[in-house]
Amino acid sequence: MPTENPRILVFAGSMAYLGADNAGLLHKEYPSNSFVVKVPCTTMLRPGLILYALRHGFDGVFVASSGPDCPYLPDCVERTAKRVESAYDLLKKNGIEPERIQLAGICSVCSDAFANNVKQLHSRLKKLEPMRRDGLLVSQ
Amino acid sequence: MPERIGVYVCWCGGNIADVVNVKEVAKHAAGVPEVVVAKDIMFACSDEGQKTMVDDIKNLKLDGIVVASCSPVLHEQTFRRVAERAGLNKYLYVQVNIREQDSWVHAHDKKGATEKAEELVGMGIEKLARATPLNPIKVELTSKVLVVGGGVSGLTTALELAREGIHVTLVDRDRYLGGFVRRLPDVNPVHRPGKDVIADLYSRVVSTGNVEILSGTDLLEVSGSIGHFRARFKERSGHIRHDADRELLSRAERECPVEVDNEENFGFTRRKAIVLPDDRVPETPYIDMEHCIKCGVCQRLFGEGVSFDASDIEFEEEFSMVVQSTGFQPYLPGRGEFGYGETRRVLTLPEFLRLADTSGKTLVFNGRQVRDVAFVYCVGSRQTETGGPNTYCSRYCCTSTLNTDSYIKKKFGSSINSFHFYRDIRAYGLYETMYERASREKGLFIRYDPASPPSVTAEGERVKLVTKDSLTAGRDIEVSADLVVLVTGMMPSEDGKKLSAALKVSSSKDGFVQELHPKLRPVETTVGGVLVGGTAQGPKDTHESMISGAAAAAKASTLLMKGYTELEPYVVTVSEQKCNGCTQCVTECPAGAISMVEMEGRQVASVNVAMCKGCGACAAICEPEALQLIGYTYPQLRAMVSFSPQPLGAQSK
Ligand SMILES: Cc1cc2nc3c(=O)[nH]c(=O)nc-3n(C[C@H](O)[C@H](O)[C@H](O)COP(=O)(O)OP(=O)(O)OC[C@H]3O[C@@H](n4cnc5c(N)ncnc54)[C@H](O)[C@@H]3O)c2cc1C
Repeated sequence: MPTENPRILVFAGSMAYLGADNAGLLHKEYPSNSFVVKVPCTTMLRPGLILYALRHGFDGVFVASSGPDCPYLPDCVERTAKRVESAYDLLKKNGIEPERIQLAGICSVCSDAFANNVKQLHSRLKKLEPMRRDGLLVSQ
Repeated sequence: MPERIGVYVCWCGGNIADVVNVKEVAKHAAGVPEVVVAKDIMFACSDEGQKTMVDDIKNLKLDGIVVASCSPVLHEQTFRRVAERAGLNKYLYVQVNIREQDSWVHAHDKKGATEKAEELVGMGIEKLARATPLNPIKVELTSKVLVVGGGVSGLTTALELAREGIHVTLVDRDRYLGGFVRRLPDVNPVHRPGKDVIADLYSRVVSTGNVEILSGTDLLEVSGSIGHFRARFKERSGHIRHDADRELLSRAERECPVEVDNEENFGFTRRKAIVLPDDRVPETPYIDMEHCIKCGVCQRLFGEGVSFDASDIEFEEEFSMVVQSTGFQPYLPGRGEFGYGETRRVLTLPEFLRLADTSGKTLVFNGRQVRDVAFVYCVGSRQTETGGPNTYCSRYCCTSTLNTDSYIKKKFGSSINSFHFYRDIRAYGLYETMYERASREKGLFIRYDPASPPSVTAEGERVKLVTKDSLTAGRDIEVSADLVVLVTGMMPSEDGKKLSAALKVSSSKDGFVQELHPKLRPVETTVGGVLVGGTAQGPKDTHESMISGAAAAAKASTLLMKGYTELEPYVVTVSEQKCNGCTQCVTECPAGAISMVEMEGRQVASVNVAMCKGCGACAAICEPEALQLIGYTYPQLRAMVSFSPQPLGAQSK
């Protein structure tokens, strides 16, 4: 049974957050069932937090790193990729499809990239079974 | 932690309310137990909106507020001040973005947008319910500013700051100041030689007595943050005394046996290995050691005053703020682009201006008099159709070309014929009158389509241009000219890009420095304490560059007059109880802000808040979650992401 209207959580680094704002400024539409949570830099994401979000009501997580423009870390992309890789492993261990995570670098004016990533993830999630919302508490 | 929360949902006129049912959102929020009051407001940022919130905080004894409106980029500071005015800690306020990230992107899904707003507000409440009062980190600011780049914008910034009594160090890698304007023979619209404009500006800067000028100096390194930028310079030796006698200098120049192309004039003239300032500022000569053969002619004249092996001087200084005014560089056409590099008779506008300026009474190129000049506009700008990287308009070029046309006619007589191959003429503002005049003065304007740009081919001593004139039914038009001038656009300078990278300043897609907001914060960058002025931020003419340079000075002085600035307290804290002493965070920290300290007989991590940049990289890898990024703690984030979309009232009880 496919997921009808998947819920997407977006963790956006500070530049990616501006990119999302820019999409708004230019009225680039994307599915409304998507929620941006701002973080200064996506390297602060614990892999467990991504699993936690999936266990508690989201069908997918889009990690929108600030990319090479990150004002915090010049190697934000590499470090964030490491976090996401560990999150993939954690998901697999828990029997969850790793394709529920999307990673992209979004700059402060990357309005199209932002909207397209949300759309892409949304349509990919549609093909998956809905996440079980059993609210299991995970460690971390 | 807040237990009496007020929620305010903004209409933003119709910007939000036309899509999101704001009354529903407020009603929904009112169902949360911690929420004491939830209202919709026409304009939360208006005086009236602010007063409503201040009154509520006071009368209802609120201990935290959530404002759902535009992006926090715009009004976070406004609403923090609201909280402060009402006696509330300003960090006990959370802004929820339901405009840029909701109503503006879901205009065709009103129901979805309303539900989204409800959830975002819910998440905001969860975050606020776990927030603690915070105090900003105070950083003292000394009145010392580094201005990088001594073009018109940097000179203007230096002048305006110095007038306020602020000490400025102005550094330019070039030995002479003034950037590109120095080489303009006729600056529009004042119609004076650029070097005069620069000399005036320079003497005003010098007369303040407050500016240390480091020309011919490389900025080797710059690091740090607001209040504490450290810069390392290398002042290149000129190998000859600055105050060398003028007459002797002229003699030395005459006698110097080395002659090379003068780069100031793109090789249209030659110069000696000993270089005289020639109306440039600062008025200091230098010996070009790259070409000097150490024959000793000048040494015989100046004795000790000349020293071939004088070494460069390296030194370091600290500044509280930095202004990036690194300017632009002209687009350089590729080989074969409109014939450039294939025939010498195709020049860029910067090259042509130097040719015209250094020519006598007649315009001569390669020994032949020039009568017919063809200008091709938009070269290296607006490359959307051609697939080039520069999609933007360079602003200055249409007017500068029209000005160049009238300048050469003024200088060389109206026997010169000009042909303008243009796409659109953007002679904005009063410059429209120049376009009108140029059209009247028998300049021929031919409009080309970017899909079929003019072809340029050499024909003996002349050049042939063929294009379809889109205004005369697309017929082929052929023009034969003595010279073709490519009107090249502006690109961010390579040195400027390096500086941005060192300072971690973000650039826009086009490579220019990104301002924080084009209207509200036009000279601030993504890095606190780093401002931008002039064409480093984007294409501008001289006038606009000076306005922008002055704006950067005004912005810097408001901060410096106060003597301190406040930084966000979003740094990492350690729970010593939880820390297991693994030391991984020490290696993970990119700022070197974490060290291990002894506490009750064991090693625990300790964070230096002045150095912590607040990225949270360390917190992510801390096994026992002993490190938390204030403002974004994991308990806060977990509460936000596990917030249930179900009707709130029912769920939370
Ligand atoms: C062909 C042409 C014709 C023009 N005609 C006109 C006209 O008629 N009227 C008009 O109003 N405008 C005209 N302009 C525009 C004008 O030249 C610019 O607006 C002006 O030069 C911008 O000044 P700026 O200070 O921003 O940058 P710049 O003039 O580029 O100066 C930047 C300075 O920074 C220095 N610098 C860069 N990086 C570093 C670094 N890392 N360390 C140290 N120093 C550094 C450079 O050496 C340079 O001196 C023309 C431009 C061109 C290309």
